[in-house]
Amino acid sequence: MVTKFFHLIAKHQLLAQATILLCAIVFPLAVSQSSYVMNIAVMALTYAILTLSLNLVTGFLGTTNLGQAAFFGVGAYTAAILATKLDVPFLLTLPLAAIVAGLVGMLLGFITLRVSGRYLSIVTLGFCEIARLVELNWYALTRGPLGIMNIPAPKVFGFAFETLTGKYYIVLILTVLVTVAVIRMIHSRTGRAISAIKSDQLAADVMGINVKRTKILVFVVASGIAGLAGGFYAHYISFIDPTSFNYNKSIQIMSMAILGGMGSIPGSIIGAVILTVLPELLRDFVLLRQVIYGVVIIVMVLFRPAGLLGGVNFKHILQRLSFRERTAAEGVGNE
Amino acid sequence: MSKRILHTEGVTQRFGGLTAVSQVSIDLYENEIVGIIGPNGAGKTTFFNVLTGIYTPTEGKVFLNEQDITGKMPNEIARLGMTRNFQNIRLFSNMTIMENIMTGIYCRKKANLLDAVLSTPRHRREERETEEEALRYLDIVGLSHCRYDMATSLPYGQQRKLEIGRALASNPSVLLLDEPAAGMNDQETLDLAEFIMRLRDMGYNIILIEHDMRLVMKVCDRIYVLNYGAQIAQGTPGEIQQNPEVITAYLGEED
Repeated sequence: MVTKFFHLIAKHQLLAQATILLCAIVFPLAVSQSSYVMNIAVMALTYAILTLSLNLVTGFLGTTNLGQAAFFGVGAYTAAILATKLDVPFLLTLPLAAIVAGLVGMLLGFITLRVSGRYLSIVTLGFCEIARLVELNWYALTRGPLGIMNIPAPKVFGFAFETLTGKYYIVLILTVLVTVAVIRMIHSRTGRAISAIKSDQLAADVMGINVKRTKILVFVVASGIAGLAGGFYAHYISFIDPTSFNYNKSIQIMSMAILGGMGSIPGSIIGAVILTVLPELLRDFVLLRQVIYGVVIIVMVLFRPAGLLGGVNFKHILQRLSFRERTAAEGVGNE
Repeated sequence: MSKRILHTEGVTQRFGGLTAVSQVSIDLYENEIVGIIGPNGAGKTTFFNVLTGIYTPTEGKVFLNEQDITGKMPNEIARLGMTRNFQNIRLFSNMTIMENIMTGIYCRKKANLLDAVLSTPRHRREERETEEEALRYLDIVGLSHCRYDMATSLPYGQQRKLEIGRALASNPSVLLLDEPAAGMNDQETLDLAEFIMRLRDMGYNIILIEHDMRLVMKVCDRIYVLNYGAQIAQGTPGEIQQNPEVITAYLGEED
């Protein structure tokens, strides 16, 4: 039954995407712009961007990374500092947040070329902690534990997006842009190189793929995307401090990627939405909250250890289905 | 005399105290199939690893189209025109058959990440070309009927063919085949022999490591024999079969 459902989705991908997008667009009206719900929706989309960025590194490239929150933080601090100290407009702080986070990501990329496996987990975890400690102690720049306050709301061409709904649409646009970019990246020459490296580095190298350069490229892009999410978050939440970007956040993003399915783009978004919404839904059952959470994890590990959409490649499914139909049609024609 | 495509000068590879390859000098001319044979552990695969840049030789040099490629990275050597298969098949298991071939075409294309994200004309043109060319290579290795299946779903013998197809897709001037007949039955080996000779007719220059002597004797124009890393003989298949040193290396000395 699950297979049939995936076949159906694969065949009508465009329809599925359009439906989801439409739902996302009318969503604020459906919940009559309730600020509680809208806040959750904005956070869900922010996490969706973060999970997509992490999935590039862990899911597609196959490299452990427990430091994704660091880039979220670097992006947030970059945007916050630029906006509060230098009055840089939103349309510039966002790309600058992505660029600065991307450059820091390049640094981590170079380090990860030298280590692998469990050592890499430790290195990325340490990296996350270093970023947090810098944010905590570079008082002149970050105001340390006091954090940065009064970060202006997103403003585009003189129009300030003060309302939650306005900010929701901004993060929705960012999510769509990032999703399209990641999809195009994966289904390209570079994307094939990334898959090849994940599968077999030596064979990839022998087939002419510059493994080091490609790995660093993925780190730069993934960190840049996380930085973009951070930049938006700073303008959205208007107050940031180092506690928002510690390794707990990294683990949270990792859980979303695992739940949705490693290496799945729709999975990243679904995982992020579920794990942002679920804790809120469980607020009414305070006593049972942890229990339900635990049960969900056990059920997942038992029945879909690879995540909801792990190992499901809609492109491959569609290719096989239409190829089978085509050859069947030719077979009939030949008779 | 026809053009020399590849040659090595005194290639030596030591691992600590062990000399795996010692002073090997070979030539490969245009339109040739050259065989490298020798008992297990003679250093054949190590020699391939040196040729493709996986190891940098302790001594000696490797030239591809008269250009010194010693010490270059495997991916640079692939772009310069030398690719290989592996004795233990190393396909990309997370890809379809078609995508494996398309990855072989990678090194001949230019579109970068920005092209892909912005879907530039260069990206779209190259993707189209890549698919068309991939179909051609799929036909050569006879796998177009199942091109969208996962590479690992193929039976063993066909996985070998796909791996050769992936190497062919980079359109190399030298193709290195490391024991392509390993694990194949008689009929499959016979088909493989035909296939390798067809590749030569298509203009590929091939170096072949193989234990199946019928295959080697059938397809190779010239043969080099290695034993304990050293080059002990070279010549045509006929000469090699008569060479007493080769016979000793394979069968051992009479008491």
